[in-house]
Amino acid sequence: MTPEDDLKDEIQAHLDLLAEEHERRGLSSAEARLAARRDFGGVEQMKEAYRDQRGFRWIDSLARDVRYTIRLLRKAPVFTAVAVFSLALGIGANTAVFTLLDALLLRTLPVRDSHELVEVTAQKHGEFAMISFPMYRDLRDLQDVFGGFVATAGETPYRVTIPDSAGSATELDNIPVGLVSGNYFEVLGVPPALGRFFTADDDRNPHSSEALGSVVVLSDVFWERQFGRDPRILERTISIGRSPCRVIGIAPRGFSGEVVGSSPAAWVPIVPFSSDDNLENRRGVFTAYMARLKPGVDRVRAQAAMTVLFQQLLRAEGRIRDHTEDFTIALADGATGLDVPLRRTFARPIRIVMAIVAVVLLIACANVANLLLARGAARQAEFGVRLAIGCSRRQLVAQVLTESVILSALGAFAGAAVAYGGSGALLGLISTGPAPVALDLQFGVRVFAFLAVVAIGSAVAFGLLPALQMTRVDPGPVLKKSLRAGLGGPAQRASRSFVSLQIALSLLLLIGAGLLLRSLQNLHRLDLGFRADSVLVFDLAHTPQQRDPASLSGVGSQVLRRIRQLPNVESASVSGLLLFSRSDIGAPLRIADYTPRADERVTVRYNAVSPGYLETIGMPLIDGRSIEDRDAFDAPMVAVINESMARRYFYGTRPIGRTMAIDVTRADSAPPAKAIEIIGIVRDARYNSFRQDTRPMFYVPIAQLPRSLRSLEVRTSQPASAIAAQVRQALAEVTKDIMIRRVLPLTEQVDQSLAAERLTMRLCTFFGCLALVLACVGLYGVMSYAVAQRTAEIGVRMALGANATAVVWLVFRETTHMILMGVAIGLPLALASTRLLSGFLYGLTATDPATIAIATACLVAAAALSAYIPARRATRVDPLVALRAE
Amino acid sequence: MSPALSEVPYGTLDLVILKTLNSLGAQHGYGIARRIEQVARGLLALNQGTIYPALLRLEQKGWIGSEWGTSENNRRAKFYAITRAGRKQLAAKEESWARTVAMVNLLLEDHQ
Repeated sequence: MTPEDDLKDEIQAHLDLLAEEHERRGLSSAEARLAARRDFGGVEQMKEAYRDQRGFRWIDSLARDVRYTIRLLRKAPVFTAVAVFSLALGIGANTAVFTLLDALLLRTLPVRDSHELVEVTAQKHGEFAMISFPMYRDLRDLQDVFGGFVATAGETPYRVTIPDSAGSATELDNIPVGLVSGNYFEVLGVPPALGRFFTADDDRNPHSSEALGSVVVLSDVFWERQFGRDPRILERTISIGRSPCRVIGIAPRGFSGEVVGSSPAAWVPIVPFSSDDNLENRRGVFTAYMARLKPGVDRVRAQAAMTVLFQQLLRAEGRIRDHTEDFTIALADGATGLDVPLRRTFARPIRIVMAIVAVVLLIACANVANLLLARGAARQAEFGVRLAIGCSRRQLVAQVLTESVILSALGAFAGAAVAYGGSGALLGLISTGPAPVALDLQFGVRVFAFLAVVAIGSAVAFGLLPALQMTRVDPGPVLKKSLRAGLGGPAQRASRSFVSLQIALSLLLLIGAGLLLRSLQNLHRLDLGFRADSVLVFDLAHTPQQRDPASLSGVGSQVLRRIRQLPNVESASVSGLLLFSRSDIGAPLRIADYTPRADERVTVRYNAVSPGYLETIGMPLIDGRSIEDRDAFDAPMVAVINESMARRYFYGTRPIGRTMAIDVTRADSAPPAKAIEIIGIVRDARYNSFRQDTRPMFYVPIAQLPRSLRSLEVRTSQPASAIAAQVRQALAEVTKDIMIRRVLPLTEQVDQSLAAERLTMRLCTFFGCLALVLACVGLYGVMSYAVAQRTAEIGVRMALGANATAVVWLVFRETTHMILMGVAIGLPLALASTRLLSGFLYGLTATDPATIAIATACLVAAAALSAYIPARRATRVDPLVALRAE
Repeated sequence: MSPALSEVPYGTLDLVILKTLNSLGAQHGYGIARRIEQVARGLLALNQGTIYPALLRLEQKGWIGSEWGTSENNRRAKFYAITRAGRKQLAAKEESWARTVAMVNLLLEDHQ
C-alpha cells in the first residue's frame, strides 16, 4: 500500500464519518456528502499540502530548479563556458598527470607479494658498481637471505619468424624479447596462463640456442595479436632470431615484465641465448638483478649479509686488489619494478608537472568561485524580488545550489575527457627511445573522483556565499537599492583576494616557464661539434652469425659499399656506437708519451667508425688525416683523437705519428695488442649529452677493431621516408643479421636527450599561459562588476567635470592594487619554488633576474589590458543616464 | 451580522492537536477535528482537511505516533496518539504560549 493510497483511505474515512454525522442531524445522504466536503475543505489542496510536508514536492522543485538553471546557463554562455573550461582543465590535467605518475612510479608489479621484492645493485661510495654475471652466479649459490635471486638482461629486439602450416613463414622485426634467468617467473610468483614456465634445465648450455634450439614463453598481448589466443600454440616452434624455440607457456594477462615502460612480447632463458663472452666476463655487466626476500628477513639484514658475501667473493676473485671493503650491496624496494632510465629521466619532471597542475586546479577553483560570486552579486536584485514575493530562503538557496552543482558537474564531465586525451598525449611526450613506451595507463578513477568532489565542493561553497549573504537580510533594502545592490564587504573582499591569488600563481608558472624556455634556448645554442642537419641516423640491431673479426670487418665494408652506391646519398658511414643514445664504450690504454699517476688508470671513450664517419656527421678535422678506406682490417692500426685527448695526454705537443696501445691486461676480451698510430685530430664534440663537458675521445677504424654495427649515418637532402626503404633493401642484400630499429634525423636523435627538459618546459608554458588567461578573465569579471556598480558615482564625477583619463585612473587604481598584491605574493613564492627546477636549467640560475622581470612584465601587461576594457567602458557612461537611474 | 469566525492562528494548530491527543488519548483525524470544533464552541472556522498535513508534521517530529485501526462504526481509520516526546513538547509549548499571551495582553492594556 503506497502512502498515497493511505492518504486517500484516511480522507475517505474522515469524509464518511463527517457525512454520517450530518445524516444523523437530518440531512439527506446526498446533502450530507456535500456538507462533509464543505467542512473538510479542498481535498486536492490538502493533498498538495500533505505531499509538500512529506517531501514529495522535493523532486518536483528539483526538476524545476534544474530546468531554470539550464535556462540561466544558456542565457550566459560565456560565463558557463569559462567556468566549465576552468574546471575541466583543472580536474582533467590533474587526473591525466596523476594517471601517468601512478603508472610510471607508484603502481606495484602484478606479482605475488610484491613488497618482498628488492632490486639488487652494487655500490662503491654511493656510485653504481657492477655485479658481473659470474659474480651473480656465485652470490646466488652462496646467499641465504633470498627466497630467489633473478638476473635479467632487459628486453632485446629480435627478428621473430613464425612458420605457418603452408610452409611459408611470417617475419616480424624488432620484437622485444626478455632474456631472463630460469627461475624468473617462479621467483616473481607469476603463474602461467597456459602451459608451463622455465625450469633450471631450460637455462643451461651457454650459447646453445641457435644450434640446439631453446624454449620461449609468450606474453598475453603477443599471443592474442599473433595467434588469436589459440591454445594449440603450445609445442609449436617459432624462431627468436636464429634460434628455433618451442613455445612452452603463456604469461598471464597484465604481466609485462619487471621493467616499467617496457613490454616484452616473449621471454627466453638467458644462458642459452648469451655468449660465453658475456656469461663468463667478470669485467663487464649485461644484466640487472632482482630478488625476493625470505619471509622474516628484513631488507637491512639481507643487505648486510649480502655485502659481507660480496666482499668475500670480490677478494676471492682477485680482480679488485684493494679496498674491497668500499663495495657494498644495496637492496632497493623492488615492488614497483626496476629503476630504469625511463623512470630516472622522468620521475622528477612528472613530479614537477604534478605540482604545476595542482596550481592550475587552485587557479581554476578560484576562477569559478570568482565567477559565481560576481554572478551572485549581479543577481541580488532578482533574489530580492523572489524573497519579497514569498520564495523561502531554503528554496532560493536550493536553486543557487543546483546551479553550482550543475556547473561543476559539467566541468567534471568535460574534465574526464581532458584527462583521457591528456594522459595519452603525455605518454607520447615521454616516448623517446626506439621502442614505444608501454605503460598501462589505468585511468585514475579514484583521483578523478576526489578532484571532482573538491571542485564541486568549492563551486558549491562559493556559489552559496552570495545567496546566503543575501537571504540573511530583509529583501526591502535590496529592492530599494534595486539593481545597484552590490556584493557586501566579505564577498567582495573574497573575490578580490581570489584575483590576487590567481595573479600570484600565474606569475609563479610564468616564471617557471620562462626559466625553462631560456635554458632550452641556451642548450640549443651550444656548439655540438658536428653538423647535425641533413644527416639521417639508422639505429641498428646487428646479431652477427659469424663473430670472428675478419667476417665482422667484412660485413661493415660491404654494407658501406652498398649504401654509398644509393642515389641521393652524399656520404655514409657505419659505427659501433650511436650518438646521443646514452651508450658508451671505453678502452684501457697505454700511451707511450704519457706517464699516469700512481693510482691512475687511463681509460678513454672511443668509437669504432668506418671511413667517411667524421665527414658524414660533419666533425671538422683539425690536423692530420681522417680514417680512410686504406685503413683496412690487415693494415697498420690507426686512430683519430679529439682535441681534449690531445691536450690531456700529449701535453700540447703534436700527437700525429705518436702511438698508443690497448692495455690487454685490463681489457674485456682479447683485442689486438698492436700499436695504434695517431693519424689525425678532430674537434671536440658532445657525444651523449648537452650538459656533459666534452671528454677525451678517439676514433678507430671499425674494420680494424670489428664489432657488430650499431649505427648507420647517411648525409642526404632527402627525408627519412624517401631513403629508408632503399637502405633497408640494401642491408637485406648484404646480410639478414641486421634489423633497422629506427630511422631519425640526427637533429631529432640529439634533441631527444632533452626530452625531460622539453616536457617540463612545454607543460609549464602551456599551463602558465592558461593560468594567465584564467587570471585575466577573473580580473575582467571583477572589474566589469565594479564598474557596473559604480556607474552612478562615475556619472556624478563626469558631470562635475572629470575627464576620461581621470575615470580610467579611478578604475585602474583598484586594479593596480590587486595586481600589486598578486605580484607581491607571487614573486617570493616563485623565488622559493623555482629551485625545484635547478636540475633542468642551463646557463642561468633559478632566480634569473631577466626572466623574472620579463615574466612579471608580461603578466602585468596582460592583467592591465584585461582591466582596461571595463575601465574604458566606464568612460562611456552618460552622466544624465547614470544620474537618472539614482 | 454573525460574529466573524477566526481562522486558526498560524502555528497554534500543532499545539491544539497535541493538547487534544493528550486529553483524549488515541484518536483518528475526524475525532481530533470534531473535538477541536467542539472545544472552540463554533468560534473557529476549521477546514478539517488542514489537520492532516499538521498530523504528518507532528509525526515526522516524533511527537505523535500513528497506526491503523477500526473506528467506532467499524471503519478502517488511522489512529494518532501522543508520544512521550510529544508530551514534553506540549508542556514547553503551553508555557511559551501562556507567556506570549500574557505579554501581548500586557502590551495591549498598556496602550489603552
